[in-house]
Amino acid sequence: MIELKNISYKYQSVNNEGLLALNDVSLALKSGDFISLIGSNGSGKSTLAMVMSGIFKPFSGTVKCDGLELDDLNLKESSKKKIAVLFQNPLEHLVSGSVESDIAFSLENYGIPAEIIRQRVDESMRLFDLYDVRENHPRELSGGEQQKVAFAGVWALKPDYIICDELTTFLDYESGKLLLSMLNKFSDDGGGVLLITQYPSEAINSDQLYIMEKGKLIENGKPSEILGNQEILLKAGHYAPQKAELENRYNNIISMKI
Amino acid sequence: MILQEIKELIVTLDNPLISKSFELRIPSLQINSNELIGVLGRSGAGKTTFARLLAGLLKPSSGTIINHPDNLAVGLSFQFPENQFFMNTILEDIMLGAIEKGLSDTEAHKSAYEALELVNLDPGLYGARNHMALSSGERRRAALATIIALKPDLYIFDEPTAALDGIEIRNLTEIIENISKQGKTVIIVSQDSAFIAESCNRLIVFDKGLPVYDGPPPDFFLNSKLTNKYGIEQPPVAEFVNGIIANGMKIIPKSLKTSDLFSLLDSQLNSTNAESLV
Repeated sequence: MIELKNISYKYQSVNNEGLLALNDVSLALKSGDFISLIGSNGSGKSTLAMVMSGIFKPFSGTVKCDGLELDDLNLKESSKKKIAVLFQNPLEHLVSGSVESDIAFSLENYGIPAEIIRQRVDESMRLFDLYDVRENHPRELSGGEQQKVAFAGVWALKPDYIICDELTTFLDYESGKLLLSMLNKFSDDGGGVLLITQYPSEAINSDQLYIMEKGKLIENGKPSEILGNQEILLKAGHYAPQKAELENRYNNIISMKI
Repeated sequence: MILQEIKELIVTLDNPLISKSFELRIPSLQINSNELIGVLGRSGAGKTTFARLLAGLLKPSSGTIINHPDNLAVGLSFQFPENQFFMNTILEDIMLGAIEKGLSDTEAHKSAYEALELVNLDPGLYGARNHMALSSGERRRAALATIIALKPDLYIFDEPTAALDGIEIRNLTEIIENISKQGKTVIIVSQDSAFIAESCNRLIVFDKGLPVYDGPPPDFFLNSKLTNKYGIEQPPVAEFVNGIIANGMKIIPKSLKTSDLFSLLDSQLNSTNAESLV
């Protein structure tokens, strides 16, 4: 379980007072959980991802992963990274000259034996339908394919938790659907997922939906309940979908045969 | 009035990294004044190449693209345009391009003020701020103001809704309406079919470097065979319209914009009620 307790995080600001991006946030992501998080631009979602993955150190509060504070986790010795992050821009992940070597890159850095790396890279390439482009330079690929390579690299690492920050922003419809289905598979297989998104429709199948506003988690619950509440949706920076507006207004012609 | 005219055009991209070259092929296409054009397609279908071609950043390998007039002013906003700010204040950033274009300081100042008003940012409140003091949605709008201040004839926005929340997307819809009211043409390259259904009156779909659909958005979006074939998400409003058509209502929407659908359905219901009273 990744457990955040009373986390606050401040960015430096011009007036030296600091900009409070996270304000007393507590959250637990358990194995097998699929949690979604939505919130308006600037509400602190991405900062939460950075703190939760250990990239940012909180100003106050604690982050523990499976009982250990993130500072105490010796990632190299454990030979596997427990928490993986997938960013919106896949180019932030891709560093090698071929798809195959890119997927292997993190595993090599964690000192995983070559034979196991070979097996995992092959498995990931097949799962993400990348086998035919395994020798291509990642920059030769479309944005959707690049994000698949980034995800395949994370998949091969076999983390316990995946944190996704607006994973599908630049993806076409089919690529977005594929990656979301892989996240569901990861969660069904016992992994913990935090999906940060600007698309409420992506959150609909998660176990829990959290709403963030001005650095605080202000609501959580079943996605169907939260997404049906216009007041809460507005706090998350969203209007009710236009389809819902139409359905409400023309309820009579939907329910009866004309 | 025709702004751009494309005939028998081929653009070949030979990036040194890319072992296989990419070709954009457009047999015939026109961009007209006062259009709101959405451009959709899978990743790698040729959308961004098309946008760069229209903006004059790519030259055709063969065929022609003719601008009317020759010096047609095209404003292109790339993905994440808010990353371009570097001056101390938003106003200075917006004025910079206008001054480069040849406007005097006074004219550029006036143009920047008008552009900020058009994107619903009060110039008095926001003009003197550094871009870091704006929310990410406000930064996106201010970045669009840098293009608007140049007063182009044709706007091209590449993925303008990326990473924006729903409130900012609605703000963006209003901005595009405001630009359109000035008689300008706006081309939106996007993966966001719901936004295009709400904003555009013409849709061009690319597949494997070819324009495979060019026409009214409803004719494409309401046809699930077409949306599936070209990997485009059917907008939720199209699902709604298909649902009520399946339910027996005889409508042929010319637009999938919510307000237009309200008008169409209200008038349809009124006429149905009137008939039932006869």
